[in-house]
Amino acid sequence: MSRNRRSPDKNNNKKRKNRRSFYQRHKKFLTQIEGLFLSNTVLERGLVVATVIIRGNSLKNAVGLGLAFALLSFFTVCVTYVVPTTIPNNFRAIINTLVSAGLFIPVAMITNLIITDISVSAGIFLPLLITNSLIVGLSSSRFHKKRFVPMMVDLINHVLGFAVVICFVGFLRELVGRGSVWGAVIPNFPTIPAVLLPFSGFIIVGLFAAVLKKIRFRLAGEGEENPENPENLKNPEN
Amino acid sequence: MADFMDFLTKYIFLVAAVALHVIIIENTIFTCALGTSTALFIIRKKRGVLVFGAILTFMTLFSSFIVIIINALFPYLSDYNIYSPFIFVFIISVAYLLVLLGLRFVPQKIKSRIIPMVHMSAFNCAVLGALLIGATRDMNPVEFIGLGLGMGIGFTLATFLISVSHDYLYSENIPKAFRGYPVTLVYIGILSLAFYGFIASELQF
Amino acid sequence: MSDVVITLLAVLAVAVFYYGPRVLITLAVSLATAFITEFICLRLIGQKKHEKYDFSHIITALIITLLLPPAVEFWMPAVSVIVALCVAKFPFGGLGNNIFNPAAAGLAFVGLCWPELIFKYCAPGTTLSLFSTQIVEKASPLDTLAKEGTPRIDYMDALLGNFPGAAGATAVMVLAACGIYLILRRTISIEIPLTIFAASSFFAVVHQRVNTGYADSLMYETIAGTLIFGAVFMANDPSTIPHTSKGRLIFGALLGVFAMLFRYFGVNDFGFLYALLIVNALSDFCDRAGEKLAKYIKRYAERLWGFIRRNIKTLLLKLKKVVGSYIANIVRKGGER
Repeated sequence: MSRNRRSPDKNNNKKRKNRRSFYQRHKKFLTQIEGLFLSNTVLERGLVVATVIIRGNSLKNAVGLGLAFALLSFFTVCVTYVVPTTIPNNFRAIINTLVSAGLFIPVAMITNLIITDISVSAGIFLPLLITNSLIVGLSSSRFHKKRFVPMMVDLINHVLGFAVVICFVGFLRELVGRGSVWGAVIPNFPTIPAVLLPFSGFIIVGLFAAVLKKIRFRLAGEGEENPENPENLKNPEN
Repeated sequence: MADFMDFLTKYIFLVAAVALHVIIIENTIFTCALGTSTALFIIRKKRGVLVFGAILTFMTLFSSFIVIIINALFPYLSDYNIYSPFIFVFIISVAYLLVLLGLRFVPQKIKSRIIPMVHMSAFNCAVLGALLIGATRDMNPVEFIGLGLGMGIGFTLATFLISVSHDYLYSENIPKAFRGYPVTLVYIGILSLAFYGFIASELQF
Repeated sequence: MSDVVITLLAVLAVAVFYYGPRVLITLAVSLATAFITEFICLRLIGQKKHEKYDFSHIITALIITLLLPPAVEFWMPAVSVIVALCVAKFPFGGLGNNIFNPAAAGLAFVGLCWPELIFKYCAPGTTLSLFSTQIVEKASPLDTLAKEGTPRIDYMDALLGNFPGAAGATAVMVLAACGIYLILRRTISIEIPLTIFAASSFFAVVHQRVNTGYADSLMYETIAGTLIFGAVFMANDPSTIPHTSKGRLIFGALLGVFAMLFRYFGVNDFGFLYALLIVNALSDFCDRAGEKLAKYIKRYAERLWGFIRRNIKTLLLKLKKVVGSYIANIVRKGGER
């Protein structure tokens, strides 16, 4: 009995479809939320790491810095979007940073109003957000190449990616390092004080980055011939 | 003349002492984590680490000089407040333009290697951080220069220590989930732990 | 690896002799944590079977037990072992692939975290209660040297380890014997311990912190802290050291220099461990530097030898003239008198 070539086996098609990985099936959505999840700003792209490591050791600092970073980066990239692309990259870097430094003044005032004393507790890491690697590195190479609305969505995801990571790391480090949450001490909580120091920050962020990479492998499939394998995906800087 | 030489020797030693303190005890990357993203970027791109470090050291030194001059002329302008970062970024931009001007006289082969990374050497947390730390601690001119020099050299030394193992950290010996960026952070963390053997408590800045 | 375990057990026997069975309870906690952590981490990195004759986690647990003080809290070695294995060993690929010595990383972490609990030593021979950490604190030689004092330990006590310190780091004679045994068995190479001692002896002689002479300074600086223990058991981990002998010479010299610098300017007694972590990162660099240095030294030595061979007659004549005129001067001055 020969098979009818015109009507292929529908079961085979279903099996072939189910062999596509989770990433392949939801590629459009996952690419839109890239900055927040699979290509997270801190855990995958390696941007703005200093702030998470040094000042991501209390929830209050983390929320304040996350908010300041969100406002500063979002408005800087949106404002510098209008700068013509004919200007060479080297000079656009100056314009980007000067705009960021200018916008820092209102952003710092707003953040101080919402979270009191953030300037004191965050120290120099609040103004250091001016030269953060998202603004300096990704503005020209990624954001300014897109159309305005998709750029805003991408930017919001990247900014949220940082905010979520710093808040989570800040919460964890404050809990384990001081036994408190937002300054409220939990009685008799065992603490490891060294978790508040920078070297623990590096190690904790490194371990979380490894967890994210493992999740990426699971979602995309680990086979080398799989084009969606994270190892074969595009350069993380772009 | 002898007095001038004595004066110069004394201040050179002071600058060197402050710079050494900053390189070892307040290392730019291992203790203060400033410029970590920049260092990882440079190492990943396999550009000349020493050349980048040299340019960054020039930026911090030059910016420190300008801040000292501004301090002398307008004492309250570079006090640490909400407006000082704008002035510091302006100074760094001037230093950056000077470097771009200087690159015109450099042979094309070297220029093509340096141009793509020169904006990262100017606008990063290490350079701005050096100026902000100096302003926060209200340093005198000699200490400020020592700080700028120490931050630049400390960054170069730290980037060199990370780049030495770069090939191994991206090799097949490392488990897939850790390969590359995650294990590099753990590696920097362990080196930072070692450098903390010189200091006991959290730095305040 | 079995040689290292055997020698560590010998050191453990001395620790038990001086401080009693409490050291064995600390060891039991470390070993249990090491086995459980190793089991979990191997599963996480996708390795289902534990390699035969892989005693690396046992060695880590033994080293951590022997370098902590004898009356340490029981959770301390557990935390140290977990940090050692989960941070310094498995992220880098496990057995044979680690860049840093895991025990050094684990101990460095707890040393910075709880310094007030870690650096409390008691006199050897004290009967330690099995579950309490109450002791009569005594200053270790490193403490005394740091406070610009002179320890009072005679040579016999120093050799036998009869002075306050970490549980297994004081028995100098036993440690030296273990080192010689491991070198003769070719488990470790002689270059690294030799250069470490050469560098530390240089510092001990040049910068004496005691005022009773060179010999005393040399003795106190050598027996203090974890220098001997580290030089024998920790600085020779095969996956963390250079592959070439020239590289190992540079590695040992750098380690000795950094260890002494950490001792003078560092914050606690684990200076050797911090130095070891930094120099571990430089092991590839030491290999390359060793090759280049050997090449340059060979080239310049060959040039110098060639120059001497070509001009030997002229050089000998000049030497004869100089010596002759010197002797003539002496004879003339003798004649004038």
